[in-house]
Amino acid sequence: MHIADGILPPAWCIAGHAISLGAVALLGRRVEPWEVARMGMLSATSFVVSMIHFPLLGTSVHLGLFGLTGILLGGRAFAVIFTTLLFQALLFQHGGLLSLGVNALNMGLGALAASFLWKTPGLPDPVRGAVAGFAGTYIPALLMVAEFQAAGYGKGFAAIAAVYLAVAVVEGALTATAVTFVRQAKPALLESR
Amino acid sequence: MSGAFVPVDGCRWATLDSRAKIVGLMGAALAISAAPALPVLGVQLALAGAVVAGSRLSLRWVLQRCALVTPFAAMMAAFLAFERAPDYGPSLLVLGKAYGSVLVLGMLVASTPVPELVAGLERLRVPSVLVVTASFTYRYAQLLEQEWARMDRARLSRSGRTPRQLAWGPRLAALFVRSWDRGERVAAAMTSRGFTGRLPLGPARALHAGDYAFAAGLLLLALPLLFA
Repeated sequence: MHIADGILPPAWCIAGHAISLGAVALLGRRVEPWEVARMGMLSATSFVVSMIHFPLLGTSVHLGLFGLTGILLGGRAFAVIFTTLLFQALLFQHGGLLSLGVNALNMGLGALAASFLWKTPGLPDPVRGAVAGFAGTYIPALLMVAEFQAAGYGKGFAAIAAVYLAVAVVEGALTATAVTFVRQAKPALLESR
Repeated sequence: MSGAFVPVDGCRWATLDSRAKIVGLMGAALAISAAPALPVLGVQLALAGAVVAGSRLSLRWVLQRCALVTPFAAMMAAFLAFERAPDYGPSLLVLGKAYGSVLVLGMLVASTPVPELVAGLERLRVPSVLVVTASFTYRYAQLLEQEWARMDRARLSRSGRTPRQLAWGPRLAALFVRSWDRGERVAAAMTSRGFTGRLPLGPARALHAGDYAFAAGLLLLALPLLFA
């Protein structure tokens, strides 16, 4: 899901940076000093979690947990995701630096959608968590596929969307169990956004 | 993962100012990504190759960086080849751009410790919320990696078996909860010491002629675009 440099037209990358940095500035405005420490810590956690490979159907996938990040941080998740992606691009070449804006936009929108879906009233936590976790992963995947098609890479990427469907289902299930755990262990964390 | 935070020993560009490296190498990567045709890209890759060769980084390092991006770049090139066959130029262009960008930007990490990189971003007026979050990520990622390993050892000593797949949710949530609590403690300590939300930086050192020459030299990679 991390788009490397040189794949998308540079104008798109510049636009992606402009929109992402604008979103970071908008959604990160009036951040209190105590909030920054919390965001940094969650960014570090997301970074570590994304390095953990999870066994799935005889292979392994790495988790993003954009849904859980959106649930825990709301709009502040955008800055956290931008930072996590920056480190992944610099240290592990997961995604490029020029395409960082587009990647952050894709995944940040997933986290924002998850945050919005989490607030759906009248549903139990595991259901809301599963829907948010699924959307947090699948929306970025669909955006990426749409970008590749628009950039002229053909329609073969529809198959990739199907692969990510399985990953999104796993992320949804994990997010559901994770929010159930957080509700029992530290409910204030789910109420803060 | 921990080794990824350490710059490569002996890189010639290590002594340059991080601002010059960020501007020069990012600009070079942008120029490479903008190459409209193979001849232009060829000239750019030759210039970039000279910078990599001058950096004293080993061939092993170059191959390792290229290997990291190969699965993604090769997949994109293959899709493009099927879409545009028998014209394979666009596929080669994508591959060249991906490898060129990776090598140029890889030099940034190979020559600059992360704290210097973060300070450089702050001095280049990148939004403070990003810089401070990045600084925290660097400081705590390795610590949280050890925390995860500790949790794993504790789980193994209790049950001695691999957890069911859905048990990963609570495990990951436990890491989030622990890091949240740690974040609260760190925030309280920092606030009591007068943290205002910005990174405290010492005075920036003056940029030398070498810094300007490095950045300007790399920005020359945009020159072939004018003749395309």
